[in-house]
This record gives sequence, C-alpha cells and structure tokens, in this order.
Amino acid sequence: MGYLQLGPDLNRRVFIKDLGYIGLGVLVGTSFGGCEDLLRQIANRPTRRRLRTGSPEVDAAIATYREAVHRMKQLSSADPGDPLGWTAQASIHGTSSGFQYCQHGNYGFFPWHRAYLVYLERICQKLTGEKSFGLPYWNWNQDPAMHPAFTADPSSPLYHTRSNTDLSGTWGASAVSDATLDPMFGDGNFYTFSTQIEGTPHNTVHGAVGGDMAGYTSAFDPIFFMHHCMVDFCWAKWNLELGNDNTNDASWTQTNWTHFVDADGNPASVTSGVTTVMPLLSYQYESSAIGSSPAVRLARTKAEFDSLRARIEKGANVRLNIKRRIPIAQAAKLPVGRPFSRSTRVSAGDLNALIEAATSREHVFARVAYAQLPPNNDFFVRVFINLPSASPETPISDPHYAGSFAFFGTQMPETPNHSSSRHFLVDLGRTLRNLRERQQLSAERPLSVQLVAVPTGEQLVNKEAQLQLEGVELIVTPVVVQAGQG
Amino acid sequence: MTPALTRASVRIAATALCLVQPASSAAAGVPAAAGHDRGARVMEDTAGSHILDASHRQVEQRVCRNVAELRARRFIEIVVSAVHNPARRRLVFEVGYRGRERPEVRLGLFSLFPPDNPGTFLVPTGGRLRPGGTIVVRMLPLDSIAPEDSVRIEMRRFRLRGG
Repeated sequence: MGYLQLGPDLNRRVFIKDLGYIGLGVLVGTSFGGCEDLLRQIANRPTRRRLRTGSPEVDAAIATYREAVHRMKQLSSADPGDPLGWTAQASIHGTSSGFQYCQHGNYGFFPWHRAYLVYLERICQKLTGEKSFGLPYWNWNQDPAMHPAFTADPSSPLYHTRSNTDLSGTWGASAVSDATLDPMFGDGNFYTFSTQIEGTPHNTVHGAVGGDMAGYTSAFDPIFFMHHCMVDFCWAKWNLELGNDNTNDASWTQTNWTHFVDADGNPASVTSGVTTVMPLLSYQYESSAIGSSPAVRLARTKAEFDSLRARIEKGANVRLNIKRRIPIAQAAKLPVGRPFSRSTRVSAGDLNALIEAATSREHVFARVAYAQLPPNNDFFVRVFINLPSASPETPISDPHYAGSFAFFGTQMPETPNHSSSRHFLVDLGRTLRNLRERQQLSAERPLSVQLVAVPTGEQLVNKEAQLQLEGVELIVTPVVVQAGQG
Repeated sequence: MTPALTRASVRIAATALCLVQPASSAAAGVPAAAGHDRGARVMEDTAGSHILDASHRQVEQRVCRNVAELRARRFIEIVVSAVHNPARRRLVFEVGYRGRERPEVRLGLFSLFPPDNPGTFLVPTGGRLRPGGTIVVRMLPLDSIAPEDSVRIEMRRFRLRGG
C-alpha cells in the first residue's frame, strides 16, 4: 500500500501525467475520507476473476452477480426507466431499434466498453452491498464452454435463450483459438490490435452464442458482460502485461462520454484517457493465459507499479497528417453562460466523399484550442453542428450533437514537466452522416459549429466566466500512428 | 502491335490490369479452377467491389505486389461496405491464401456484429503472401441460408497494409 503516494494538496484529485487532474470519484467510485482510506481502496480494489468451477472466490462472485442481476431486473419491472435497472443499463448499449451509445468499428471500442463495465460493476456493488465485487470474465480461449451458472437453471436470472453455450465445434472456437489470437497479441500497434480483437473474437463470439447476443439487444443477455470483461482483459493483458502502448493522441484520450450513470443513478462522464488507468486504480484482473501469453502477476513492488503507471499514462506517439484546415474563428471568448456559434466556409457538399463512406480513412474533426484552463472546473463543452439554437438544455440525443470535451485540473504554472494538451478534437463524421440520412444536411449551405458550456453540477460557480479560445477550426485528416515507446 | 508498344509497356499494362481487376476468372464468369468448389463461383457486380450472396459465397483476388512490398504488408484489410441481410443471418467470413501450386491456408476469420452491420476488418498475413498467389474470402453462415435467401454482402477490393 505504501507505493501509492499522493500529494498533500490532493484536494480529492490525483494528477495523471498528460491527462491532468482526475476526479477520484471517477476512478474509485465511492466517497472516501482521507488519503489513507483512498490508498486502502485502491490497494484492495475489486478483483475480476476468471470464470471456472471449483473456486470458492469465483462461486462467490457468481452469486453476487446473480443477485445483482435479479435486483436490477426487479427495478426495471417496477419502472422500466429506472437508470439502475437492467433494461436501462442494457439499453445504454443498444435496443431492438439499434445501437445506442456503444462504440463499434472505431477506436472508442475498447475504452467505451471498459467504462460501461466499470459503471455496471459499481451498480452491482451498491445493490448487493458487496463493495469488493468484481465482474467475472469468460476466458473463451481457455474455456470455450460457458460456465454452468449461465446455462443449467432456466429459472436463474443469469439464464437466457442462446443458440450455443459451448464454442467448441463452432466457428467461434476458431476465432478464439491460440492460432488466431497469438498473432494479435504479437501486434504492438494499438489501432490494428483493437480492430482485430473487435472483428474476430469479439464479433464472432457474439454471433456464435446467438440469441440476443448476436444482435443489437446483446447487453440484455447477462453473459454479455462476462464476454466483454474478457475483451477488456485482452486489452489489459496486451497493454499492462505485454508492455504495449495505447495511443496518446488527444482525439482519443479526450473523447468524453456523458451517458453513463453512477451507482446512485446520477449522470457520470469519463474520457478514454482515464479508462487506461482503471485496471490499475479501479479494479484488477486475476490474470490467466490467452494463447501463448501466460498468466502474469503485475507490479509487486512500488518501483514496478510506478513504472507501469507512468508507461500507461504516457501512451504512444500518434500524429495527424492534416490534409485540410478550415478556420472558423481565430481568437474568441466562449462565455460559459452563452453558446458560441460560428458558420464555416465549407458545406456538406465539400465533404461529400468523407460523409458518404462510414469507413472513409479520413476524418473531419472540430479542433478547439484554448489559451488556458478555466479557473473553475465546473463545466464541460458540448459540440453541435448546424444548431444555432443549441443550449445547455439541448439533449445529447439531438442528432446535431457531435461530442463533448472536459477540462481537468486547475491552472498550474508552466514547468518543463507539466505540459497539458491545449486543444480538443471532436470527430464530426457520424453526426454529419446522421444528419444526411435524416435529410437535415444541405449540400450547399455552409456548416456551422456550436460550442455550449454545460455545468457539471447544479449551476456554474461563476456565470460570467469565459473560456479563452485560441482558435476553432475544422481539420480533415487520416490518423497516423507511430507505434512503440513515445 | 505498334512500334510504341514495347515488351516493357505491355508488362506494365498487364501489371496495371492485375492491380485494378480482381482475379480475371471473375470478370469472364469462368468457373473456378479444378479442385475448387464450383458452387463458390467468383462474382463481381461493381467495378472494384466483391459481392457475396446466398448463391455465391466465395470471392478471390490475386496478389500482385512484389516480395519486398509484401514483406511490409502485415494485414489484409477487408472493408465490408454494404450489407443486405434483412433476416440478420449470422455470418462469419474465413480468409485464406492460396499460393501458386500450393494448397490454401487459412489466415483468419471475422464476423459482422450485428449481422447487418458493415465495417472494416483486418486479418494478419503471417508473412505468407507471395506474388501471384490468391486471397480467398469465404462466407460461412452460422444460420442456414437457402440459395433464394436475400443476403448480399459488398466488399471493396482487398487492400494490403502495413499497420
């Protein structure tokens, strides 16, 4: 426990290099007393165990999960809109109408699902009173057959109608075999690793299991979370155990999601960057083998832990090969009490090829550069396209919504070792495609961009505060990764 | 042949044809070579695209790059650009490589999730690709599909990429 050192000016935040100050509630998830309580919580963080028979710890985790699912289903029966209920939680991923907020086919796949698991895990802890509960994971490489807790008793909350409960003898077995997975774990590039894991074992297991798991309602099947814990463990093993680096590109690390709920049912937000340290601070895996990569015990000493955390926080260098810049505003002030709206000099017709193809290699981002951190970290900024009437009340379900970004920390004196990124990138591609499909996008009319400051609490500390913007622009770029140590 | 059409320019033209066209048997509608499943006929609908459906479940594309270029290409990139699968039949795609005068080896597989969702997929080459060989992609439904079922998968021409 002594290896987790936090400074005296902690103020309920921990500074993570290149990510800024992170509210500890995001990482730990519970209110705490002083530093010692926090250190104890991190050192004793929940363990996610590999599903197997014959282990009392695993049996206990299964029993807790069963109870949690039962209670969540009861909540939904009483009120389908209850944010802690099974229906609401599963619907965050998708419903029969399609995917909701989940990230697939892009590099938000790993971090979004990691955050999804963490928030569900905390809900399970709260509803059962088991603070040390960790979601168990289905290591389908080592154990192609589903644990009997999910299959044997049709009256169990964990039971669900499925096509296959044993991947052996199906195409699923090939997708999770050593021969298939070993080359993936030998790939040191975050982007190609993510693409392969998603397309092959992740997608194929979904299809092989069948039933709800094969479609948009997959999260309604309780095994979904055990499957995704394994996907998350794949990422954690690749990153933490095998020494590979995630990207440190700001367009990835600062992607912010605001649609999760915490264990009390309150809205919660988290960025990709923060999720990279969650396996070190929020939970831990009982390691096991995947293919030729054996089980590994991580960070037994302070030096090992510090080294590991530093590497995770740093990531790998990624550069943007910007093909085109469309300035929107040079220097401007974003009053936190009033939205910012500007027209661009580009129309949807100018970006036609990029909008048409969901799989285009080029992306269009809104890039927002700011001069300094705001004095109060009590708001975040939502980005909209073509909605001059956007306000803090405009919901993120509005089709004009493109994304958001948040600030961490307070202003610090510039030092050689403290360089926080001063720009944000929000990918506009999906929003433009959605608007086009809804026929709400004119090929000729110039696009406009809106930035709306939204209080994180009930109200802003200082309604007259302003965010000094250094520039707002659109950039068109493929994302270029330089793998290896950054 | 005009005097301007030298041997070199013919070779260049032939190479260009190889680069821009899938396996020539596709364009001509010629059945697959002996030893291959005659039902898995190569088809193409749109120039530069591969089409798979209930009746035609295999497509092929020749590898034309030289050895040095192939060494740097670690992945086959397969872009599923359009999916018509109203019944959401579960689909797995097996990717193989058939060298000249050699049997096919499996390189990997991927699936659509959900079954009507396009996407971009990567399959590692394992350093196996050689000039003149053929990339084979085979659709393997997990649910039974009758020849008259409405399933149509469009894939862009396969790309080789380094990472």
